[in-house]
Amino acid sequence: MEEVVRLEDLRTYFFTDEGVARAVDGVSLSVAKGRTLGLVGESGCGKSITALSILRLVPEPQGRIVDGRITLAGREIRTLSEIEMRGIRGKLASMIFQEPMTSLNPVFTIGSQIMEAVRIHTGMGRREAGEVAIEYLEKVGIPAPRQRMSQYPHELSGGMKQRVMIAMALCLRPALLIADEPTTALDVTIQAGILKLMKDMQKETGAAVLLITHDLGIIAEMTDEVAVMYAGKIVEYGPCESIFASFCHPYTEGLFKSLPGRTARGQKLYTIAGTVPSALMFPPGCRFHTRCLLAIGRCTFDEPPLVAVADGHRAACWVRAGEG
Amino acid sequence: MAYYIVRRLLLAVPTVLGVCLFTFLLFNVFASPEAIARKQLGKNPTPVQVKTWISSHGMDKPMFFNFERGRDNAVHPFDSRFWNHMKELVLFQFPESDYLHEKVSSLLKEKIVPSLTITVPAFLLSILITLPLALFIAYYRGTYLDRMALFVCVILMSIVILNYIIFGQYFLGIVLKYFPVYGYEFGLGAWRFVLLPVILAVASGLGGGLRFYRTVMLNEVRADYVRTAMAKGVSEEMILFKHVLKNAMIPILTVTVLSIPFLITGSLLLEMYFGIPGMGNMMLNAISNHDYPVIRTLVYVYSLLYIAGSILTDISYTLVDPRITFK
Amino acid sequence: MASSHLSIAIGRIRKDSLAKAGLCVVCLFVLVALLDVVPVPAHDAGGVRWGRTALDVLFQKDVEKSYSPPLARTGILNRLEFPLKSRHLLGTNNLGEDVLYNALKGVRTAFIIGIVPSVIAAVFAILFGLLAGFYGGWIDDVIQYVYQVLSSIPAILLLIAMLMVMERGLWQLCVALGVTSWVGLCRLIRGETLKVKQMEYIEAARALGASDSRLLFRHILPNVMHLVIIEITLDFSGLVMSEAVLTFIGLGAEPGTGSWGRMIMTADRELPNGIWWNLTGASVFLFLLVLAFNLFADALRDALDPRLRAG
Repeated sequence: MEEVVRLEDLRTYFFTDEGVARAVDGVSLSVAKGRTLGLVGESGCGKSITALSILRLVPEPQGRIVDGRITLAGREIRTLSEIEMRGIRGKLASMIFQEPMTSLNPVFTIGSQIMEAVRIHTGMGRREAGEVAIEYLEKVGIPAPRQRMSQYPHELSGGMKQRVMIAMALCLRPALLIADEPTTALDVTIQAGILKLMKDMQKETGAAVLLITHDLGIIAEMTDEVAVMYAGKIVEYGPCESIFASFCHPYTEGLFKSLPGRTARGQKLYTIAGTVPSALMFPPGCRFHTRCLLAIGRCTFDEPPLVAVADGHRAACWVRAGEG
Repeated sequence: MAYYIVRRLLLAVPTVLGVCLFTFLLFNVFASPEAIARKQLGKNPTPVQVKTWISSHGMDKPMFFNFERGRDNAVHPFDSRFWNHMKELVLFQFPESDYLHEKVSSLLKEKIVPSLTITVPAFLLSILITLPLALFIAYYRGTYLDRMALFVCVILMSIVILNYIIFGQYFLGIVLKYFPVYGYEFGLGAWRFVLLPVILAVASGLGGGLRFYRTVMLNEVRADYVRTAMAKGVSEEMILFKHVLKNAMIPILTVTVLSIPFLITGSLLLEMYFGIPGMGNMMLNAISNHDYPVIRTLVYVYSLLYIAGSILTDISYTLVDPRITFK
Repeated sequence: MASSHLSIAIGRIRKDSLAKAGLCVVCLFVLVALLDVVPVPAHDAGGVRWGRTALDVLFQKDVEKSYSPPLARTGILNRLEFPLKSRHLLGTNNLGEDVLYNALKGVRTAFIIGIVPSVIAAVFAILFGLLAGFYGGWIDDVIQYVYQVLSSIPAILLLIAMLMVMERGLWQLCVALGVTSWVGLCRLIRGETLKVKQMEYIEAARALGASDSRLLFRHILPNVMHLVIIEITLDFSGLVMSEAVLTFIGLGAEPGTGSWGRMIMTADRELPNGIWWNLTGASVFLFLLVLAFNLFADALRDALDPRLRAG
């Protein structure tokens, strides 16, 4: 399978008045053509920053990619100039965000916003770009696309806005689509439609998808592989079925146990004790040890590496995965 | 749209009446006619002088309703201070200035143009200079240049306008003799006299204006849609000049369009210092001469201008923000 | 406000050297103003006399006949030189008064004008804003009508109109400035009151039997105070500068109170004759106070801005 994106030991830090926040602290992952990788974890674990790092959209001057390699379709992202980077954003890799309400510019028509993406990267004239925009509006299931072109974002519902975002992201058929919590802000009834759309579009364009979410249900439905992130690091990584069938890392276990479906009726819902540590001050050793029921002495000072626990399935835990 | 304007104007009527009522209360109830007469007549007026002044201004009439017989032996119930005051303003039958003995309406006609020759160029020049500068600074946000610019703005804002005028007139007009220092010429020759005041008006507002526009721009730059545009590959320049600017126009318009009707007010200080015979000068003279008719007419006229300005502002929103329509 | 907000804010300001410098300068000015408030009795043959303040004792100098440049030994009157009784750091004005002393006397006035009108405005704004937001209905309608009318009149005209019917004086000026500027803050407070009114803890307190005034003063008022504090700090510089301008156009405090505006007023007669020190003295003091306050207040507001917090 042709690899579309590869991250090797990516580190993105934020330099603030209160110290250095190590938001992404040694993340390695890869996604192949036509495959979907799910990046799952609680808020604050660094998933979004990982995604922004791929497109070099980390907010400056406080944020900076300090180490690691990012390879996109064979190109080294960190060494590119800003102009070259702009040529990649939207064309080679594109991103959709969580808040469709505010992610579209309220004072421009949706047609002109899609056309902008098209015209920046190709040389097309207005008419041609308009046709491309209408074509993709149709593909994402927007009824009467030609009329919608001259509508403004506030005239569309949340679900429709997200469809427009998807059309805008895919109209140049990028090799990689990054979706950062695409359905979190939408009604549950709309979510299914958006997810199905994403699956269909992926099948059509053959893009690789990096899907960021905290929802295990979406992971189960949409992804081929899963990376579980905690406190800036990947703690478990493997095929979706393998992780669902036999999760390994105590944090992953905690996530699964917290699902309401897993708790018997009448019983208190399970929660992982404690809270996510601040990126300014991670605990030493295994970052999860302060909340882990299985923690042993070694966990408090030695950071466990990712080791294989099954075919293609790796976890970082002294107790469950050992030394490898 | 016409329907909207008419509706707004009708809704403004109670407010305008309220303004008239306010000036009435201020000049008739809060301050007694005797006190006002004494201020007008200067040092130690005789009781006769005071009485004459009061009756010549109709201030000896009853406050609200007049049931006495007048000179023509008939009763005019509405010949009272309150109704005369309201009639005068609402029907645009403006009174005569106490000091200049000219009807305020003709004074207004004379004085508007000189004021406009300063305020209009200053207004346009201000926008033409500060807006691009603000965009430029927004481009370099977070850098040393940005912080320096902000510091310079604060310094410029901390200099009171008096200093701009006094030192400006002294160095540029008297010492360097680049500009005439005082006076005015009607017609096309006005430009020579107006140039320095306009420059000083723009300079004194630069610090505050630039800081305001910069804040507006930077607020927009933080928005989600900018992140989306960057993810699409839009260049930094395009983001500022297209995406940010159009959104920034909404708060900017609030401030600029609202100030358009007040271009007629004229700058009190500039007109005083440079001898421009405009509205500001008239106001200043009214203050020093205790010319109450002029003041109360101006309050009324300017409140009308304010209402016109706010209606204009609302209309301008609909032009820039597609989310706002006439309702 | 949680103590952590305040400690983060203080930490941020500590690192900002401009803000620190601003704060130091403002403190110096406050010191001068306080010196001018402390009365010092004078003992002489007729008994104890009050009327001088600590500032007078420290800085008041002999009054000369007329102008003299800074640090000069002679002054000028009718083009003739005359010897000076003492050294004047910033020279003397046309009445022979020490310029530095006059400028220092203006500091107290500046602080009074900078703060008192805001406090007066705040009282009106809080009263009407809370009532309008809390009770709604016709009370809200009346209050909104009142401030609609007031805000339709340009501030400068409103000020002029009010000052024309009042006596001249520093405190009258404060009242006029306060009464003409409460509308903006009132709108904000009304809006905030409406928001806070909806919150559940108000319902809870009401269910527990809390009276209206208790709700207003113990629950809602503390939540709108931050708006008031911000407004007071925002208005300080503008008010200090407007005192100078208003005195200049003849609407200021009565003669006899220290006023930078009055010192600047004589400038147009003096400058063309080469007399620059009176104007410059007043202008520099005014500039330094306003700039220092602006720098510090800006840093304070940025430091308290929750959006700039990390993490």
